[in-house]
Amino acid sequence: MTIRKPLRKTAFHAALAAAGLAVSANAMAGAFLFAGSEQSDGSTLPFDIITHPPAYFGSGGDVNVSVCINPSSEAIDEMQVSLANAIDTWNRREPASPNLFFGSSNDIPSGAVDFESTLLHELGHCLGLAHPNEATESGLSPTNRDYTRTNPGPNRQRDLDPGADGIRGSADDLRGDDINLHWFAIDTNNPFVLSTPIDISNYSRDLADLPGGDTFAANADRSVGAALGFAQTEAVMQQGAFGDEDQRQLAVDDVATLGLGMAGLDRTAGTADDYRPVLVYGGVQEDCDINIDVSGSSFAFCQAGGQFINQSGSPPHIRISSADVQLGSTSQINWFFSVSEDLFADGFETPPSE
Amino acid sequence: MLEITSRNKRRIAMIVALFWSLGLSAQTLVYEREFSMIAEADNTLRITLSEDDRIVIERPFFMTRAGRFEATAPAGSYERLAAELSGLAPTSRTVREDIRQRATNELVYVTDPEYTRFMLLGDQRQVVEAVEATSLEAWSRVFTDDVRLANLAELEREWLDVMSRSLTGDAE
Repeated sequence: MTIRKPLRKTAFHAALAAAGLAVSANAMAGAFLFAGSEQSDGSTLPFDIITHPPAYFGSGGDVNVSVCINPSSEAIDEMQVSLANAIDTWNRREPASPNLFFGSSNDIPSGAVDFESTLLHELGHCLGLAHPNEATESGLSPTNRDYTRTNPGPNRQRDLDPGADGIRGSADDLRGDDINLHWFAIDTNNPFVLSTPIDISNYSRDLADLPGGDTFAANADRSVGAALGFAQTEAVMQQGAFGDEDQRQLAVDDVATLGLGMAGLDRTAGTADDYRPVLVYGGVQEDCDINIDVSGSSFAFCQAGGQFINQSGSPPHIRISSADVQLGSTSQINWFFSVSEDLFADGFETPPSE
Repeated sequence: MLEITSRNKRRIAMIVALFWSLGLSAQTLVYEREFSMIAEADNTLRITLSEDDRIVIERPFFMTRAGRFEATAPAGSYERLAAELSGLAPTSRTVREDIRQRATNELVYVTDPEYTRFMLLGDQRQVVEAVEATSLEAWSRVFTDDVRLANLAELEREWLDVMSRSLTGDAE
């Protein structure tokens, strides 16, 4: 796998990070990589960071993101359809409900893991998206990983109370001083309903913008979806996969989070810095924006480097500067590779007109 | 007070032999790899190695050759892996936190962390020595100058090699 050296932090970056300590709760950012991460000096990166796909430098228009298969990868032929479908899915950005299919509702054999669903998730990370839920990086127990993504806050521990409905990650959660990192729709706080335009006029990270009666940002976990009338639906970026699970279509929350980035540095849709990410398959070669590799003993991850874009802007923005996806060796993981290309018909790198 | 008769000696010898056969009288090494992206209880690869190089391999449902296997590991595996863990443990206790903070400082991210645990268990199954690391394969390639990471990643590769050779019967 091609591993690029991570970018070194500049003095400017350090200043930005330090400034993050003083950022108020207004207009904070959501589930993006790097937002709110803790540094060695105890400070955090700003909570309001929005992280953008590779090749976005602040100018509007199409942003082409090359996606390639590392020549040393296993399963180059087997993954072609899965990769084509996943690229097409991110380019189309069409939310679906339901988007979870099990058993006889999919073509995945029992005991196998769907390569396309896993790749779709990892590509989302490589475009700058984080988990909407606390996930494993929080260190929480498995049952608590469904809570909405946060920074632990001043008391240095996550406060976990599912509220009256008993559903972790829902709108009545009681989270103490935890700092919300999840963007939510201001009018509904419903991650399964799209609010347009997708920008800071409709989305916020500030809990003061929640609808009346809500106590925390709801995330697009499947149990939350079921309670809100969206059965068998979950954000692709929600961490937590199951065997024999087909999740090959995006949910509203995936489209909304990526769309928030697409509003550009001013975070306002309809302005000159708006962009459209266009993933383009670059074949079997090294050094593309996103490099896919099937090898090794890990299950799946995206290794991403970041770089600040707006050196004088506030709030800050980061773009992914390097991204490598690794999925486990076929000698270790029982992958199911898609064989159907019925999701697209006109070339998988063609995005919709918007 | 127990009188040591020839009959008691035979009983004691039998009990000791039984405990040995059950693996209860000796220390064991355990390697665990939690593939935490899988949200099911069966998400952990677990390898248990006894002092006599008997090995038990438990592979979760989504891995190839899923299931529980008992075999004989290559001779000397226990001794070698135990020695390496003993040497690494003191300097590796803070590696997870160090890596997390350094990653933020340098703006690098590895998603979907996996947890590796190396453990030495005593004869009562108590933890004698333990090191837990996160996404060793990935981070050891990012921070190539961190000797602790390199050593832990190498120890992980050795465990996986022992597993592979034991599964294929290549225990020479």
